[in-house]
Amino acid sequence: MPDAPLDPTTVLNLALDAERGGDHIAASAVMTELRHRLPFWDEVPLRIAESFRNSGEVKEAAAAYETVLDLNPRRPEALLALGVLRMAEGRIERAQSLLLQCCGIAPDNPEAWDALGAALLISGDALAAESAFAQAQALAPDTIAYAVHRAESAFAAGCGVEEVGRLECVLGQDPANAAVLTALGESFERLGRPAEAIDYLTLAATLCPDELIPVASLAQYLVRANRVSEALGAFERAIKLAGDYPAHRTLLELRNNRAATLIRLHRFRDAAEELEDLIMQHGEHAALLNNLANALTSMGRQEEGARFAYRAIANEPDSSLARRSLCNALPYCEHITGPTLLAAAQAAGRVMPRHGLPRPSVQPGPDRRLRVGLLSPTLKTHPVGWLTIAGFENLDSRDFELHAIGAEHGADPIHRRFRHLAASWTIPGSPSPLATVEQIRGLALDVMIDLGGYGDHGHLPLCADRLAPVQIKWVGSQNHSSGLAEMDWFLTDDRETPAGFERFYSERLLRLPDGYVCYSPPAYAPDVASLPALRSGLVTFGCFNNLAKVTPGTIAAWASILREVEGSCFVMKCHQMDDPPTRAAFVASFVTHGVDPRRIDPRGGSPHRDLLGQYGDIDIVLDPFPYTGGLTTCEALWMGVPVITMPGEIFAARHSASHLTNVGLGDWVAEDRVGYHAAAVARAEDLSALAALRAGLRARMKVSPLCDGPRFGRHLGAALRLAWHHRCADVAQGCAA
Amino acid sequence: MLSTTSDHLAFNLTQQAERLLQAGRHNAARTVIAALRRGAPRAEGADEIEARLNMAEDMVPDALHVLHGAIARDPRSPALRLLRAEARSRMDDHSGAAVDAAEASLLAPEDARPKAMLGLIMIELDRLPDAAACLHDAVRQAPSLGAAWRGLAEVMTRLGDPLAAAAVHDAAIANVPNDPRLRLAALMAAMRDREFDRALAIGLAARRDGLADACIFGLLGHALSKLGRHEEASEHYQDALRLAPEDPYVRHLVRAAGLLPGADRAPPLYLEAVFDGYADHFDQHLTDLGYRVPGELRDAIVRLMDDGTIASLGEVLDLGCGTGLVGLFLSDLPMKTLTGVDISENMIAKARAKGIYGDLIVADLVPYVDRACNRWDVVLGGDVFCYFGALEKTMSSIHQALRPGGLLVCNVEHDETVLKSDWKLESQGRYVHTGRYIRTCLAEAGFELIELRPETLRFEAGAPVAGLIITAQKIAHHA
Repeated sequence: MPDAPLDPTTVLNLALDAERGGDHIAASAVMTELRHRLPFWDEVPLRIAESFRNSGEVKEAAAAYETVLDLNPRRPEALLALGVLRMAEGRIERAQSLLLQCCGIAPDNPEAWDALGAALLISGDALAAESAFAQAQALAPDTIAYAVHRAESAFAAGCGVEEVGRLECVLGQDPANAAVLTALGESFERLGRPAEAIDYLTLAATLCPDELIPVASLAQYLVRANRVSEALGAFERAIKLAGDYPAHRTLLELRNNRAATLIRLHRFRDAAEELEDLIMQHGEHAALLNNLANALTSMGRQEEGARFAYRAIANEPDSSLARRSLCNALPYCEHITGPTLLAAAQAAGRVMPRHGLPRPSVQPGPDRRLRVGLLSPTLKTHPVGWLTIAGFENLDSRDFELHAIGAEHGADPIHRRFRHLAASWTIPGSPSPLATVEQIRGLALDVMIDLGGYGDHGHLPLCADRLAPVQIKWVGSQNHSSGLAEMDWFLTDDRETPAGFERFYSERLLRLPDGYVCYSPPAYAPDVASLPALRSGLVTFGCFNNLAKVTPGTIAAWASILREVEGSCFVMKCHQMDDPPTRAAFVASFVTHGVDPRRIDPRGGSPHRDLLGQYGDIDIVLDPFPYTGGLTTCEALWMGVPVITMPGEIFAARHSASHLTNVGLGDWVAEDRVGYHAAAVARAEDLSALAALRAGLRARMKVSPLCDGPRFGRHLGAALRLAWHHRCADVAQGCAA
Repeated sequence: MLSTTSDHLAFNLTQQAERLLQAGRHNAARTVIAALRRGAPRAEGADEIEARLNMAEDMVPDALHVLHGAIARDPRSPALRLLRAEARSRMDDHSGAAVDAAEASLLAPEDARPKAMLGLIMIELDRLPDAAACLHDAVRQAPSLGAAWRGLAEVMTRLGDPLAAAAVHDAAIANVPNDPRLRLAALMAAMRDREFDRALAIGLAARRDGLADACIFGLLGHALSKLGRHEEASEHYQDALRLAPEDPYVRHLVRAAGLLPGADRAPPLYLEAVFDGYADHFDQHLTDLGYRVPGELRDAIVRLMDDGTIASLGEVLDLGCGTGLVGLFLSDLPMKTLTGVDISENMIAKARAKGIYGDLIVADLVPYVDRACNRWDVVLGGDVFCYFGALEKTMSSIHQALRPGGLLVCNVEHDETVLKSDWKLESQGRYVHTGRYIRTCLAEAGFELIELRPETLRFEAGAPVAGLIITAQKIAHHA
């Protein structure tokens, strides 16, 4: 050991080495000793503060920084770090004061300006914040975060468009600047121009592949733009990059979002495994539980899905997302009843965000032309499109003017039909629900029809703020009552909601005389094939519905039919069957009911025309329950294949019954399980009757109310007018509700 | 600010620009190219992609500028040569284009595209046997090249061999079953040849094969209408309308089938689409139909000269001049100038080839006439008002465009008996008018009617098509 005492700087450096080597106790001991020896040297408490901060001991760190400032009130590192800590605690004034001092003492430190900008933004002074971020960006023009923060503050200050102009100018000078490109990407997303946002972020992420911000934002916006496969790749990259960042919240969010993306890609098992892993690591966050509920339901594990949705609600009782998840899981559950589902929907309705806006006023005139809004993210080739477009096309344009509110879907053929019909098209672009509500209210609509429900990207929650004097729920996650107090009417028919069913709905029932939808068959549908049983001598049952609808009870019913109809087999066709373990589990569930697995033919997803063509292999469709086929039933009928169904109590349990009745096949609707079984067996025995029905079914359907656009358009128009008259009468009687 | 190695980055950026270009996102592609130029100014593929972007945005001279530089640096690049061939061709420099395409073909003999391009250029140069040879080679080498098949069919048609053209279309469809353009080309060809049964078969096959295309469905309906199967036609028209609700061509067909409320004239885009498609065969088609309108208009004018109403035609405007048949019939009569106006570029090209017109203008005739005042001595309208229902405004515009004492010589399709209204759209997509309505329109516009002569205009399926030959004069106001 040398005789002379070590220089204090050397001692401090040795302590820092120990700290970096993980020996925090030794490091702390040396620094405490030094602090004792040199009580006025600010370097020591500063190092101690940083050590605390690095180990997440925020309070201790703050105290140590205060000590530094007691010793040296102009120490910029302490001013900055303490400012940031105070900001995180919500002590914004103190934070601003510290950060202002820091900027005054160290005007060349971009980090200080950035932190000051953040504090100013929180305090609501967006213009001053923008100036501070501008300083930060001027000092470090390549730092992505500063450019993004500046753009955010410009939007908060109401000068987003000007900021985009400025950024484009800068880009002209410096076309490969990833910071500017990222800021432009973020700005275009805020402006509701997602395609441009994605273009800029993709370029930024290519130029700087190691930067998290552009990649993470890109992933998120790709999902929103429905470019899900690309989004998955971006999430993978972002997750790798986020691993290098200390904030594990970001990593958790990214992984949860990746799981949600996997669900969108129908990779339910992968998603479930990822979510279960995240719950093990981080506990039961509601966002994780919601996604897990969704994944499990989609895999046909409905009861488990509902259980996780209930757990999400238990975690966050006021979370509208958790309540929505439950509303989306319960209709698939085997023993769901009308009252249970209504109660869940009403509980969801109660927690939807509301902003205390006055009810939109009614412009007088019961018989004037009405401005009708169509609120939906899926005005395109989608069940919403196939089942509503003919109705809207046949509304009398002298009586109704249509205004669409929803996403853009380019050249999608049904989307083009909607575009042609709509007098205006509004894309809800703002991330703020209130701003979106105000944007839509600005359209001065008389009637709003929700066509999205609580499903993916559905806008139903906005209806809690009343977007129009009259609000009507129609197709689009229309599995049962919306439960929303502000939803006035529910478009339905007598088969969907027979007399007495009013008690299962919070809305008034607006019953159409025939069916509640009008089906537009695709022009490319193949011709109806002859009855396959006549060729093979054996009956093939089938179901092309989503596996989420296939409950254990449904499988038991199908198995018992297969056991009784000798030699028959069963085709299950849905995208979930692309996953080998899911496919194997599905076949195994028949084996437990004593059915030879060779009689089960699981088929994965395929392009739509091919899917329709595969009805050429099916003699009879067996509907699942309680959630029956909707569009799927219409397609089966169009392809000449009749459907045996068993309606239940909830709305989703009665779709097939409605469609079958409307094509004159009411005698294919069974009252109960026994009837369902008996009908399948009896129909399978009479092949000549089946063949005759099949040969004429498409022609019969063409002229039936299910496909009669003009007839449906008249009924729809009358229903909308009736709802409007009711509202006018209420207003005339001075009744606001 | 570049954080990856230059080559790798340049590759990624080029790929990105390519994807954006393919997706039609031209502004974004330009942004990426700007970044690419900054990061890697001489990156491989940058010139090509920039040139293609310029071409996609119709900036062909800019594309050529980029390509000249790029080829000077890399004269052995077949891709650049091929691209310049296309650019030159679009600038009507077909000889230069042929040199580039031939060079590209030599540089990349394994690639069928330069051969196809050379074949298409040979068509432009009217070297049809050479074109046929190149295109045959191309489709033999790459049977999935739809453009080469279409070119080959066109060559066969122009060589006067419709059977061979039909065989080419059949082979093309068999080889490239998912290309709706081939089906359309085959359908159009069958319609032009008035082979409606064949057109029907092609359309139904396309439909059965799952090609949901509004134009195919529209033409399928058209073929059925021609065969008198109007009810079936209406079903296909409705499907066409569903697929392309905003398409004026489809809407006009559907309107003609009585499924949409009437409009008072055929949409300009419809006329352009139909007549651009028909230009090559128009004269022959009309001659086959026993087309008499140009001769009747000539006779009307000669009668005016014989009775001393006029000595010379003066400055003549031929409205909807088409391929120039009316001009041809009038070309030996004394006149100062003959100007033709038509909406179809292809028709105008055919008229130009006749060498009769002093000036030929591609334009919608309504705004064109609207702009003129006291400009013409004679306005001719041979088979043009059958594309208009309401004529009041057009007559008034023509009246204004004529000099005092000037003449309107034209025809309409005529049906007096069945019409409740003044005019009606027929299922073939043309309008018929009543004589009463024509008289009223002319009088209201300020014309004095000289002659309204019933005539047979042509024969369809052996039956005469009735019309009126009209001569009217703008009343000269004397001081």
